[in-house]
Amino acid sequence: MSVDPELFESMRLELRRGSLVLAVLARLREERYGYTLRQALAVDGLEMEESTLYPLLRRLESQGLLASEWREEDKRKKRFYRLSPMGAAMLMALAAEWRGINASLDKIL
Amino acid sequence: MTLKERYLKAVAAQLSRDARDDIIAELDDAIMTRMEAREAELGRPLTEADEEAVLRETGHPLNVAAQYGSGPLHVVGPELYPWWLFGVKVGLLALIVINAVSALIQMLVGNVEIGQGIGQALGAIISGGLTIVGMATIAAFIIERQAVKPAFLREWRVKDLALFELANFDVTRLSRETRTAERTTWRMSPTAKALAGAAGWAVITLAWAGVIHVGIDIEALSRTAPEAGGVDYNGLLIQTWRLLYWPGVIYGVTRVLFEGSKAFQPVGVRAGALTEVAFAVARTVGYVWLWIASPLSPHIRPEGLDDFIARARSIPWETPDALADLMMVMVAAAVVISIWEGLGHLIRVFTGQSRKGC
Repeated sequence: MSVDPELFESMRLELRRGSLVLAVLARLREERYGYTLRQALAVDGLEMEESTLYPLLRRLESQGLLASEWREEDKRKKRFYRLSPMGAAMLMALAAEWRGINASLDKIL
Repeated sequence: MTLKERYLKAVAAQLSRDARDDIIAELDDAIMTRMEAREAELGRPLTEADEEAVLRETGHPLNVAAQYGSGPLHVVGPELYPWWLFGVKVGLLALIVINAVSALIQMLVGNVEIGQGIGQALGAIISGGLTIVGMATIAAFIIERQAVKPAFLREWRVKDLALFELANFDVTRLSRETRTAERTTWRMSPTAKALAGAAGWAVITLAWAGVIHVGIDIEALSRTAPEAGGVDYNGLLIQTWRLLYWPGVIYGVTRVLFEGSKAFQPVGVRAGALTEVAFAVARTVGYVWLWIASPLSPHIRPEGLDDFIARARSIPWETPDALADLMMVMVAAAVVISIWEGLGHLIRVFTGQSRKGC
C-alpha cells in the first residue's frame, strides 16, 4: 500500500526533530561556525535550515551546553561554536539514551 | 540600500535590543557565506534575482526573528486550546441566552418591534461575541507565559467532566430519551461549577458595565414604566440604576475573580462558604437599600406586614400602584432568598461540609 506523501513528510520531520540537538552537539566536539556546521550536518544526511540552526545554537549556548567566540576569518567576523564541559557531559548522556532507544526500536522493528 | 541590508533591517526590527547586534552580525555572515557559495555554483556574480532567492531560502524576517524569541511562538498553545475553545463556547452560549431573553422582554413590553428586536439581538451577539473571543484570547496569552500553569490544567477529576457536555450542541441531546437518561447522572463538580460561574458572571458583569451590549438599554426600558398615580417611575428607575452601577460592577468583578480562583486553585469548604456568606451579605445589603433608602423606597416599602400582604394580594396591572407592589414583592423575595442562601453558607462554615453532590 502506498504512503501518503504529505503525511509521511510531516511524520518524518517529527522523527528527525528529536535527533537534531544530539547531532549538533556531536558535530561541535570540533569547533565550527554556523555555515560549516550546517554543511557538515548536510553531508551526514541531516539538512537543517539556517532559521532553525542559528536559534538552536543560541539556545544551547544560553543553556550552557556550548561556548562561542567571534573571530576574524577570511576578512570577515564569524562566530565559532564548540562544546562546553557541560555540553560534553550532556552529549554523553544523550548518546547513551539514543543508543537505548535505538536498541529498543531495533527489537520492535 | 542593498537587498541584504533591507532584509537584515527587517529582521532587526523584530528583535529585542540587547540581542539584536549579535544576531544580525551572525545572520549577515551566514547570508554572505551562502551568497558566496551560490556564486561559486553559478560561476558568475549574483543578480538581484539570485540574491532575492538566497534571502527567501533564509526565511521570512518575521519567522527568522521569531525563532530567536524566548517565549512560546503561539497565542494559545495546544494544551490550553481546548480550554480556550470551551470557555468561548460557554461565554457565547451565555451571551446568546441573555440577548434572546432581553430581546423577548423588549418585544413583550412593546419597546421594540419584532424585527428590530431580532436585529438588535443579533448585532449585540456579534459584537459581544467578538469581545468574548478577544478577552478569552488575552487570558490564554497571559496563562501561556506563566512559569507555572494553573492547577486546573494539571489536576483534574473525572467528576469535572460533566460540565464539558455543555459545549455539545448536538440535536440528539434534545430528544426526550437523552434528557431522561442524562438527568439522573449529570452533576457539576466544584471546578466545573467554578468555571461555569466565572464564565457566566464575566458575561453578566460585562453586560452590566455596558462593555458588551445585550440588547437591554436600561434607560429605554425604564421609559416603558408607566407614569401612574403621579409617580415618575421612569426617573426613579434610572436614578436607582445609576446609583447601583458601580456596586454592581464591583460585585460582578469580585464574583468573577472568586469563581476563577476556585478553578485555578481549589478552595477549602469553610473558606469558600465564608466568601459566599460575604457575597450573600452584600446582596442582602443591596436589596435592603433598595427597600429602605433607594429612590424607589417611598413607593415599594410597605407600612407594615398587613400593608405588605394587602398590597401583594392586589397586583393586577390595572391598579395605579401595580408596578410598585410588584417591585415590593420582588425585593422582599430577593432579601429572603439572600438571607436563606447566606444562612446555608454559614452552616457550611461551621460544619465544614460541602453541598450534597459536590
